[in-house]
Order: sequence, then structure tokens, then C-alpha cells
Amino acid sequence: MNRNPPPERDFDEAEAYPLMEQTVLDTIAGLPDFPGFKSRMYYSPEDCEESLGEQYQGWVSLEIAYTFDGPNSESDLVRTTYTDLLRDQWTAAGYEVHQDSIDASTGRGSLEAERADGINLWWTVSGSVSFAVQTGCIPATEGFDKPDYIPPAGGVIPENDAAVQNRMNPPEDAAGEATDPFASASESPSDN
Amino acid sequence: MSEMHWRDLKETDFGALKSLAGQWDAYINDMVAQAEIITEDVVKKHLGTENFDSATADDVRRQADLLADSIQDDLHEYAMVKIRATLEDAHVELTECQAQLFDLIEAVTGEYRFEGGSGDPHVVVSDGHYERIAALEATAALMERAGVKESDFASDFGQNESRQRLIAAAETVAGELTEVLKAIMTRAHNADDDAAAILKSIIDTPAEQPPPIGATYDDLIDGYEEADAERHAEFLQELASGDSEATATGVNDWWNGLTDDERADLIGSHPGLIGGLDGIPSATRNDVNQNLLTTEIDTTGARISEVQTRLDQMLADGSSTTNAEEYRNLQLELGELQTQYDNATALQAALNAGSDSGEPLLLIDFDTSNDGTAVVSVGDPDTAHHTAVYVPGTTSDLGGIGGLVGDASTLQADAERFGIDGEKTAVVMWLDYDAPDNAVPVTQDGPFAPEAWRDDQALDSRSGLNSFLEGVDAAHGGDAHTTLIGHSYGTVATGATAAEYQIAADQIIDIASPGLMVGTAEELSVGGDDVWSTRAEDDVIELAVGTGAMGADPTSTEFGGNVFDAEAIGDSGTKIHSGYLKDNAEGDENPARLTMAEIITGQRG
Repeated sequence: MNRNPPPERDFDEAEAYPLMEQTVLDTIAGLPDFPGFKSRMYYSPEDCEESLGEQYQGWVSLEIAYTFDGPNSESDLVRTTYTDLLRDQWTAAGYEVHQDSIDASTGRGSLEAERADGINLWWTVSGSVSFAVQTGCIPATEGFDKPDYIPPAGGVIPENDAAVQNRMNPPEDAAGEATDPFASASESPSDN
Repeated sequence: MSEMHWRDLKETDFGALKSLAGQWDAYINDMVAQAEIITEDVVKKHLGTENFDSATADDVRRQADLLADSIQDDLHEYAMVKIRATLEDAHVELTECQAQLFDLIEAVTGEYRFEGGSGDPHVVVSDGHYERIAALEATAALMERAGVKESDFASDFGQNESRQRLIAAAETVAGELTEVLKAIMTRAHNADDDAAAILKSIIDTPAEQPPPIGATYDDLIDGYEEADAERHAEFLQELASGDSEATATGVNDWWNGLTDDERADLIGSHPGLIGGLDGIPSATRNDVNQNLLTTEIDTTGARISEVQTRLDQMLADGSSTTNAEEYRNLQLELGELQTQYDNATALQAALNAGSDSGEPLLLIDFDTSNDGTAVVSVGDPDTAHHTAVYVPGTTSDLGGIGGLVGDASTLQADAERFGIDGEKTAVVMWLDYDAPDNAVPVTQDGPFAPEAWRDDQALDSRSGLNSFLEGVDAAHGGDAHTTLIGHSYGTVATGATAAEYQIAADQIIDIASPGLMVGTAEELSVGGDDVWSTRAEDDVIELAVGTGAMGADPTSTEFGGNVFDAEAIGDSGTKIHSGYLKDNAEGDENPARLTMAEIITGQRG
């Protein structure tokens, strides 16, 4: 049962989306031979007062998620190597790894870490492998409906970008724009 | 009237009926394919306008279309319903009667025998049994029935007295067995008569065929088409009124047998019926219902303006006092209209919000009166690899439809995210029952019995929920992978339905359940291995679980299902009760989300 007062937060709802997307970019930059994500989705913001009680009046919780495609979700690189790397990187960065339910025999489960700024990182190895970023409860931004378009990280093509359909304002360029997954310091698989 | 003799019932191999039904099934499938060939290959390709362009060619194409249509109608009404289904029903009934007869024969062998014809079957005491009684070699059961003891045989008088009592008892037993035999034969005769009547009706009322092309064609064709359309409309009315015994599967078969034009005509003439009919494809129901909702918002809004204007006028000119009854009636109408309008706009807003995964929201059914009901699907259950049907609980109504569709959206997005790439999941929010309005037994006016403490609203939901599940399966071609999910009182509804019917679902998830109206998971028609339960610590529902009023605790070992973990998210038992799809203040999700997604997508169990 959670009766804690709202935590101190350095950003609000409107500021959170770019921050979360940058978190995704930073995370995949540390993953070698990154093959790209298949899809992106934004969950509808959650009203913290409704979930947790009246002390959270005016607070919301956000969650965005990226998922790998089938072949990459089945690959050792993504299922095992990335899981081990993230565990090490998050620990080394001083994040609080508060959940590690990755099963040693099946490789399935969740790995979660919370950063000092309260951002929660959630890596899940299931039928597909996915990476989510959660804010926890943050102050809602008055008059804010949904964020302006932010290009998806990891090479998600527009037709697989669910976030742009209902959860963010459409891009000025209707064709959308995906961030080149190989523009980061990661090595390209084609170089191998 | 059937003249089936008990010997016929005993000696006939009724498996032939089942084989014959199977042969009809194969024939129906072949003929459906042939009808489609006529429509798609012959009419549209070989006889297409690019090859044959004339008035006569138009008539020939139309005739061929009508013929294919007629074949499909006949396949449904005659081959499928009247012949195949009749043979299957007769097989089931007569096989059961035969099994009962065998049981009876085994019970009486050596002591009694059957006599009489088909109209007067009866059981008599066998000669051998009389002889054994005469020799005082009666069975213990008969002696007990006759009130005779071994010690009674000590004297001649006692022996004679015992024989008389044993004979009387044996003849009484024969009379009782006669009633059993008659009941079996009456049931068999009824099954025989029912089947014969239906099969005879095929001869008495043969299917109408389209008129042949010729001199009278123009005079007859309009009448033929009108009669055909009337027949479909009548069937639809029967379905809607509940007079028809057709199931959702039957509705789906019927709908698939119609031509595009016939479907369009029925949608145009009876949109309300089509929109609410289980077995009709979800995309069709959505199109119809979205139009109906838009129209309802427009017409209700306009009527509200009219009524409000009239009320204002009456207040201004004083007629609200002189014509108080009209004023009161208008106020009542305004209240109902406003409820309807608020419900409709809330539903529209929920649909406009879209889903997290980008999958379309389908409006499969709705009713904006009173608390309101709605069935909204995230994704198309007719084409999805996995479907979950989510039944919400107490206080669910159209006023809160945004949150309910939001829950379905979260479940669906999780299933897409954690499921197998390429396998689509649809999650249907099924609020097509009158969910309880309250669960807390105290108000400012004092204590009362909340609706959620009774099971009647769950029991009332059973037929509709079962029909919906069957419709989902039928519209999916009979091979849907479906999970029935209940939350809180919704689990009472799902449990009651799965206990009453062999539901068209593969597994059940119950979240925060007060009980599933059964003592063990095995009593649910999906089987105990496919029941999954969770309840977070300190959930307020623990109070209801403790009473046992809605059945055994589904998270107990004794219940026999699977149990999975959920975190207590919220600052009170009530918040925790609604926190199964939520995150805590730090953003940690409820672990139940991942587990449920894996169950729905077939990765557990």
C-alpha cells in the first residue's frame, strides 16, 4: 500500500516526453550492433490521483514503450547480450536496479532500474523484447493535451509508430521522420 | 406419431444418423464453394461485361446471381438447419434414449421382461422370477421391498404369506419399471416425430427458385426478390425478438450466406437489429453502430434544445403552472434525454481517444438509456490471433466508459508489446450487462444492502455473455483463441456464465474476484488448468471473499486454479482494488500486467 507524499520531481508532463525519448536514445547508444526497434507506442497518461489517492491530485504518470521485431526478439544479441549489458550499465551508472526477474534458464522476465531523476527503465524479455520508460508521478502541465511530434528512436518506420496516431500531435512533415538507428556510436550490423 | 418399438430403439445403429449429418456437412461445404464459383468466376469473369455486353447478358448474369444466392439460402435453411442439424439432434436424443434403455435392460434382466407394442410398452415379471419366488429364492432387495425376512419361512403359513407379498412387490416393481420404459419410449418417439416433421416440411414447403428467363421473367422477378428480402427481414425480426432458436453461430452462417446487396438492404432497413446481433462480423457492427451513435447524438441534442425551449416558454408565460402535467412530463423527458446524451457523448469521446497501440476501436454494441451499456473492442476480434473479452465490475456504466476502454487499451497494448511479433490481439470491453451501482453498505442515509452483494445481476448477464463469446468464435471461423477476463463483480458474471454454459473461450482470468460462483476451478467449463486468478494484498475485496457469498476464494489452494502475483498499488483498499493495470508513484508497473499479457497471448499454461 502506498501512502507516501508525492516525490520531488524536476520536470512536469510537457517536459517529460522529450526527456523520455532522449533516455531511449541514450540507452540504445550503449547497445552494440543495435538492430533497430520495430514499433513505438505511448500509453495514455495515467491520473495519479485516481490510482493512488487524493494526495496526487494534479499529477500524472507517463509510459512510452519500444518493441523489437520477431527475429531480433528471438536473437541472443537482444535477449541475452543486451539484457546482461543493461544490467551492468545501469548498475555502473548508479541506478537502483529494483527488479531483476530474468529467469536464468529461459531468459524471460523483467529488468528495471530507477534513475536519480525518478525515471524508471523497464526492459522486458517475453514473446517480444521491449523497452519502456516510465516517469512515475509527475506534475501535470496545465492546459497540456499531448506532446508535439517527436521522431521515434531506433529506426521505427511511420506505419509502426502507434504513438503518432493518437497520443501526440502529428508531425509538420506528414511523412514523419525516423531517427537513423545507426547514426549513434553503435556499430552497424552491416559492418560485420 | 412415431411407431418406434422398444426393440427398434434397442437394435438400431443411430451412428448412421451422425455419419449422414457429416456427409451433409461435406456436401454443404462443396455446394457453398460451387455457389461462390458461380458468383465470382462465372458471373464476374466468364460472363463479365467485357465478354458479353447486352440486355440479355445482363439478365443471364442476374439470373446466375439469383441462382447462386438461392443455392446459398437453401444450403442454410434446408441443408444446414433442417437436414444436418435435425440429423445431429436426432442422433443425440436417440443415442441417449438407447443408452437409458440399455441401462434398464441390464437392471431387469432375468427378473422382468418387456412386452407390448410401440403404443403400449410395459414390463412384466418373468416366469423364472415367479418360479424363484415360489421356491422362496428371492433377492435381498425384493425381500426388503416386500418386508419379508428369512425367519418368516419357518412355517408353511409364513412361506405362503411371504410368496404373496414377494409376488405383489415384484409386480409393483414391474409397474414402476413400466413407467421408466414408457418415459424412455416417449422421449424417443418425440425425437423421432420432431425429426420427421422437420424433414417433411422440406417437401411441404419447398424452397422458392428464381423465375426462369423467358416471357414471364419480368413479371415474376420483382415479386421473387421482394419475397426473398421479406424472408430475411422476418428472420432478423425473429432473432431480435428472441423467437428464433438460432445461436450466434447460426446468425453467422446466415449472414455469410447473404449476398452483398442483401446485407446492405438489411443494414439499411434494420440497422439497430444488425448492430446488436451476436454473430454478425465485428467490422459490420462497428460501421452500423458508429452511424447510429452519431445520429443519436444529433437527434437527442436537437430534441433537448426543443424541450428546453418549450420549458423556458412555459415558465415565461406561466403555463408551467396552468399546465403543470405537461411541464412535469417535459422535465422528465429532458432528464432522460440528458442522460442519454451524456452517455452517448461520453462513448463518442472514448472512441475518439483512440487506443495506445494504434489499433482501431470498434463499437460492437451500445445502449445509452439509463446507466448505459457498450461493447467496444480494441482491434478486430474477427481477425486477431488472440482475443480477450474483459468484463468490468461494480459501478461500471457509460459515464465511466473512458476509463473502461482505457483499461482494455492497456491490456491490448501490453499483449501486442509482450506477445509474439506478427500475432495480433484484440481486447473487447464487454459492458453489456447491468453492473451493480454500489458495493459499500452504508450511505449518509444509513445502512442498506448494496447491489454488489447479490448475484442476480451476474446471473442475468450469463446468456448475453455466452452468446457474445459464441459470436466472437463464429465470426472468427470457429477457431478463436479467447480469454475471458473479469474484474471484481465482473468475475462473478464470468464465473456464473462459465459454470452455466460450455463457453466459447479457452481460458479465464479473474482479477480481484469476490468469487466465481463455484467451489472449484474445475466447475468452470474451460477446466481448472485454464483458470488464472490474482488478488493484491489489502484489496478491499478481501472482505467479500471472506463471506463466501459468491463462491470459494479463487486464489486459495483448494480452488485448484492457477494464481499469479499482483502488487498492491494505491493508498487504500479501494484504490488497490482498481490498481491492477496501474503504476505506483515511482512508475513501477503492476507485475500483473506482464503476466496477463502472456496468458492472453498463449505464452502461459
